[in-house]
Amino acid sequence: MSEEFDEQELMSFYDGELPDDRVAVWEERLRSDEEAANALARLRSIGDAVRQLSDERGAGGAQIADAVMAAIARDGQGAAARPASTWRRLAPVAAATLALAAAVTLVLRGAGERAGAVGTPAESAVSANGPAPARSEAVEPSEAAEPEMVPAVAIESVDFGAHDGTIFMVQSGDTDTPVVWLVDEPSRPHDRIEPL
Amino acid sequence: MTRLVTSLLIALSAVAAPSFAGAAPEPAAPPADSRGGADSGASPKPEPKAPVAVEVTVLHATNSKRGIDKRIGDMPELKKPPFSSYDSYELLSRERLPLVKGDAKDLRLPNGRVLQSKLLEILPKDTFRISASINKPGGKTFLPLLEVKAHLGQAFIVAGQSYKNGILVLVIRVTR
Repeated sequence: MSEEFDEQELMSFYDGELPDDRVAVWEERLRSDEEAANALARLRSIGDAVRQLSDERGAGGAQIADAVMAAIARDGQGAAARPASTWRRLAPVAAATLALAAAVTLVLRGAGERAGAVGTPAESAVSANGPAPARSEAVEPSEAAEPEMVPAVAIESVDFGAHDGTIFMVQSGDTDTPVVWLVDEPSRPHDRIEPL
Repeated sequence: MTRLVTSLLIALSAVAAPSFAGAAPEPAAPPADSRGGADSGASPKPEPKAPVAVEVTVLHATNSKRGIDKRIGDMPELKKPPFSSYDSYELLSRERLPLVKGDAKDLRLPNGRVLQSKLLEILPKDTFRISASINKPGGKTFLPLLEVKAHLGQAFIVAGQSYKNGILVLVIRVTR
């Protein structure tokens, strides 16, 4: 079993943000640590999918979220990363947010933790496609269990209207930032420029 | 399963620090054309004191090889997928919209759409329920409704609107 590794630093390695001495350490480690190497491969897979779409489609953003989720699903080994990526109508998002947070977070985690259980909330999110709006209360940590824990942000409900969209979390230091990403029509070549 | 749910809840329960600690507290660029939904008339009636505001930072993501605008400040999210698929981020505007419960505040976006924000509820522990929507006057609604419960200082992102060979990234942060 490989020693636990620093996911943040691996992402920095992937992004080319590490100093040379740390790069050397990681290059050495990746030769022998299969788990870390797999995590890096997953990151590269996601990045490649995103870049490819972005290059092919110009604006590209419309497809990026789907590409990310598809890459996660492809590399996520099973139900844990099943794509809960698009909901056409109002989606109760507590479970969805959990699922997608897990999907993004679990990209970097080992297969043992990734297996199985995340599929449940993911599937509940996908099944929320029905046209009838249904408000969902955000799931929060119980005060009894985590008295000091105050939820920083919870997306309670989203109506994507006629567009496809997805919700996921992006890690930012000690916090996770929720992202609502909608699929838009491609921008027109003569988008007007507004004075700002 | 219990362990999984617990870990997910922890993942969502970030500490109350601002997401973008390095972001400049004051607007770093001329604000977008903002129109207060409640105060757009000529009446001199003083507006009730806003208990909270949202700071809306409008970024333009492109692949134009210009890097990240320094005025954006420290925003690690932009270096992570899927945001890292764009190599250039330009700060278009940063606008603070004071919110009073029940009143809507509008912010005109560079693509002609309007972001509307509302304070729905003030909750304990500096937490607020806020709604947002994006529509185009006389056109289709882009995002009919988004409701968020957010702690003071915390941000969320709405991304994906096409704009000039790229997309708009709206960083919406609850602030005083």
